[in-house]
Amino acid sequence: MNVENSNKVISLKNVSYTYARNTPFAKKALDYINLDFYSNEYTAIIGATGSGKSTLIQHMNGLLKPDTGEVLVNGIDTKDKKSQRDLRRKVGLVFQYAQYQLFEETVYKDIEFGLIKRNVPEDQRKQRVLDTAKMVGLTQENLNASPYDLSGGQKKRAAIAGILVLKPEILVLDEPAAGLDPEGTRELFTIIQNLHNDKECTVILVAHSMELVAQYAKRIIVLHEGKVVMDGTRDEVFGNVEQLTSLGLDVPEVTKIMMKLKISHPELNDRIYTVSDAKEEILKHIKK
Amino acid sequence: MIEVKDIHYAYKTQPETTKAVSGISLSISKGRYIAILGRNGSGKSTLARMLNALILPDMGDILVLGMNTKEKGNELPIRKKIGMIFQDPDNQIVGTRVLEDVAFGPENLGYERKKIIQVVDNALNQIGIYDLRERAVHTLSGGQKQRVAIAGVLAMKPACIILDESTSMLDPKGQSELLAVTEKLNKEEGISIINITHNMDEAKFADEVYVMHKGTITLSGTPNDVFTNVDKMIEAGLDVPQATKLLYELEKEGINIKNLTIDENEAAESIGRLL
Repeated sequence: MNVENSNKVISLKNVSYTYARNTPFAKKALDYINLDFYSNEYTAIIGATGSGKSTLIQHMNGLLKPDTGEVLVNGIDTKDKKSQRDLRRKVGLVFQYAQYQLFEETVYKDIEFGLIKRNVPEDQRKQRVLDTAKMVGLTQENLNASPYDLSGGQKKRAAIAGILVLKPEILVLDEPAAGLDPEGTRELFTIIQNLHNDKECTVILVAHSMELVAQYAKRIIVLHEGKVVMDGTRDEVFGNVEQLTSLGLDVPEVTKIMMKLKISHPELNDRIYTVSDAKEEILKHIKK
Repeated sequence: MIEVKDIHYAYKTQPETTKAVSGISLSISKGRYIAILGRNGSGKSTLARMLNALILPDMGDILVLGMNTKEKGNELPIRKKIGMIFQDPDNQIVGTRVLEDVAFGPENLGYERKKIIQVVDNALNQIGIYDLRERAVHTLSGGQKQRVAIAGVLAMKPACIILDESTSMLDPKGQSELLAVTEKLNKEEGISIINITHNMDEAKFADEVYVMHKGTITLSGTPNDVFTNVDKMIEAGLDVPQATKLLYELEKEGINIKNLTIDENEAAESIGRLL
């Protein structure tokens, strides 16, 4: 990782967490995790079902507290009782099915809710809600509607707007594409990309689709049975197909095609993870 | 087995009506595995609800095993034949324990106790969740709950099972478990499956795929026929496999790609010939 020019924003040191501790159902979800996240990184966390991904990101805003070790956000321990409000504002956490957590009469009120809770004066609230709605592509008509009248994709945007309106420095998302159709997914990932580029928002997300991870994330962390087993750039992680496969994960389909081609055409670069890069690489080598 | 003849449906909410399905005809034969692909709001769930008489078409007719969904008295026999699995695993479980939930349907059919036990045990075995029978449903994973829901439908001896976005709240493991069960029921029991989804990976294995867009069917055929029609898939807001997308992009650059395919190996071979 590029450590120069960047600050450590979240630091996990020897973090372990067990669900239903001291009961017969105890399940160790995180096993001595050590990770540092730097400002303006775009990180994807991948891993098979039950590898600890959701548990890990719920530690990042203090929703879960580690059994051992510590989680520091901008140097502040998440166990520090006085810092909870500050923590939740700095780190915006979007749950997997955030679209089912809308509860207000109108979308506008739902987005405004967090601002009221944080005593933001009324005259500032309106502008912030409108700006955020615009950023995620919700119309005035959407804002006046009941959350229940929105489509799945619009609901997700409304839920994310409720987090973004608080201007988090770090945006943490648990499987943001869950329940969205392909077009809705593309739109959402474009919004996240814009936040990352324009607002310099640090993005940490859990994702299942290797195609999406390959397209957007600069750093990829692989979890397996509560441990970090891989952590690196796209090349470093997707380059190791054997290990990924053994962990029940996969590489993008286009990467597999390039790897197959490389066997008979060694001049090709097979460190390719998106369709547009594959196209460029093939065009370079095609017989004219 | 199912005949759909030029059906139309609009949601009548004040002050406006929203047209959800406008003129769909299709015919589903026994034992087929069908995928209906479409964006959120394309009308695919409305179609599904009409197939088992939860709602009735404004115009046109649907015949299930010869029974018109519009005729009074046909609803129950139709729903016995066409089971439906919904999106949210928590919204379709009625029992506290797995056994009770699966027994709910047969109990309501008035079977005697011995027969209920037999039907339920068979269903649990077929789905591969017999070991979960004593478990409280709320302790199960989403994928397990959906399989309990399928066992409940199976205990009614259906001819067809409709999955209405049933995998969209499941993680990849739950998704593949559920799909494996539907494939098994299709192959071994000859039960027709209609899988309504926006996930193309689930449609790749179907016998036939229908693509819905704005209330009509814009594409239909084998998975290969449908996914290689990239322009129409994009128009419908759907994805195509990366293999197909790559060939399509190369073709747009003037490269002569003879056959678009959804198969990764075939794609690699046809590109290899050009290098």
